[in-house]
This record gives sequence, structure tokens and C-alpha cells, in this order.
Amino acid sequence: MKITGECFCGKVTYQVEGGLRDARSCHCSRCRKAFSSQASAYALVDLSKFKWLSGKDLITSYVGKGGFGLQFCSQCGSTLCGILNGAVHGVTLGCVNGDPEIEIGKHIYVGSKATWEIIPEGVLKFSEGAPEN
Amino acid sequence: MTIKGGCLCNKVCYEITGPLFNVDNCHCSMCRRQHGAAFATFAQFNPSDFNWTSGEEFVKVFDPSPAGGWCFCSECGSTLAGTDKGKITMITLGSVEGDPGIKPQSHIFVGSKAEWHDICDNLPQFEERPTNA
Repeated sequence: MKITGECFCGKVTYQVEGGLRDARSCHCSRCRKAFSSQASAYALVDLSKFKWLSGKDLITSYVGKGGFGLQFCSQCGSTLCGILNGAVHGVTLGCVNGDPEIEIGKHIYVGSKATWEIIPEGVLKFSEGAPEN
Repeated sequence: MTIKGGCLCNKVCYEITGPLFNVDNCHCSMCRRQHGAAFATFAQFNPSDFNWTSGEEFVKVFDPSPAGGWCFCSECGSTLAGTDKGKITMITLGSVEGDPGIKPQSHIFVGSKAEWHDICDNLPQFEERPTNA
């Protein structure tokens, strides 16, 4: 399957051949600020299958500790993808067009969740990172 | 109660010297794409209670329509506030430091929610924005 995504203003667009994998929601304090939300919604992509279609010149990168960073549209502020050591690592699910045919499989760093968030019952959750990480 | 918050890179900070109210989880397509997340959580306040305390020069305002827009950090992309006719009237709860002293009260625009997100709490749900909100 081919997945496309874009920022709010539509100037930055991308496509991913072959779908997304390992969708997760991270509740750590950094992700809450990066997404300005209760948690992230994020899935991994294979770099070789990811391609910017338009607006690459409008992307701003913010790199934090450990070489992990985020890329967002400088015009509208939508955060589109995560980068690791300069390469695209995953995409934010909120910027994907349509149904990516994937569901969030795990909630990580729930030990750091916001006081105001209600974590659903019955989901796979970890106080910190998932063991395989 | 003074509420403090800021962006991921900590260049932009704000304070609100009065209470927050009307906190909703908004699932509309605009909010999902703007945050890159499953939904957005905004809280309202009295606009005269709001001040930028640092980094105002890094704040970028994106106004897709005269009725509303948002402010984000041009360095890290965190969305910090929502605007109404050019005035800052809402903040993203994800950008607040610590406990904001309030929790989301409902889910709005549930008719537009992402296919990959299930609402698993017991808060009231509205297909769009309730007429009394």
C-alpha cells in the first residue's frame, strides 16, 4: 500500500511505499511538548520507502538529545516526522492522509503521563520504554 | 494559581495568572493534522491573564482563517496557543508544566476522529462542537 501525508497548510507532502509499522503512543514529557498533546501518535517507516513529494525547503528540523529530532513545517507548524541521526525514522499519525491501516499497539512511558490524562484500560502499556527498545 | 508552560526547546515560555476552563479533546481533522497526534487538548482562559515570559520573538502565528489560528515555536515546532480573531484565547494542555489543575471534560468533533484511534474513557462525546460550548 502507498501512504501519503501532509502538513496542515498542505505545502509539505510525503509518501511511504509499503505502509507503516510499530505504531506507538509515547507519554513522556518531551513527546507531550513536541506534539503539544497528551501523547505522541507515531509509527516507523523504512527510510528507503519514504519520499518527500513537496515543500522540503519549508521543513525545519529540531534535534534533541541522542540524535533524535523532529521535522515540522515552518509555515503552519505541523510536526510531520521524527528523524534519527539526520534520517527519517517515522511519521506522526496525525499528519497521515486517510486510514493508514494500523493501530497503536503500545503505550510507552505511561509513568510520565500528564496528570490530566486518562489511560485506557486493556491496552499494552509500559511505565518506561518497551522491552524490545 | 499561576500556570506556566513552554515549548519543547524551552525558548518560548508563557504564564497564565488566572484559571483555565472549558478543556476539550478535539478530534477534528484540523487539530489532528496541526498536532500530528490523535487529537488536540485545548484549555480556555481570560485573555488578559496571558503573558509570554520568554522567547516571544520565536513565536510564529499561523492563521488559516480569520476566526482562528495558533502559535508555535519556530525553533522546535511545539504548538503553544490558539487564537481567536488575533487574540490568544487557548493554550495546548500538553505544553503546560506540571498539573494544570483541570482535566478534559469532553470529546468534541468525534464524528471526524481518526480511524486508528479508539476513545476508551467515559467522558461525554459530541459529533461536533456542542451548541452551548
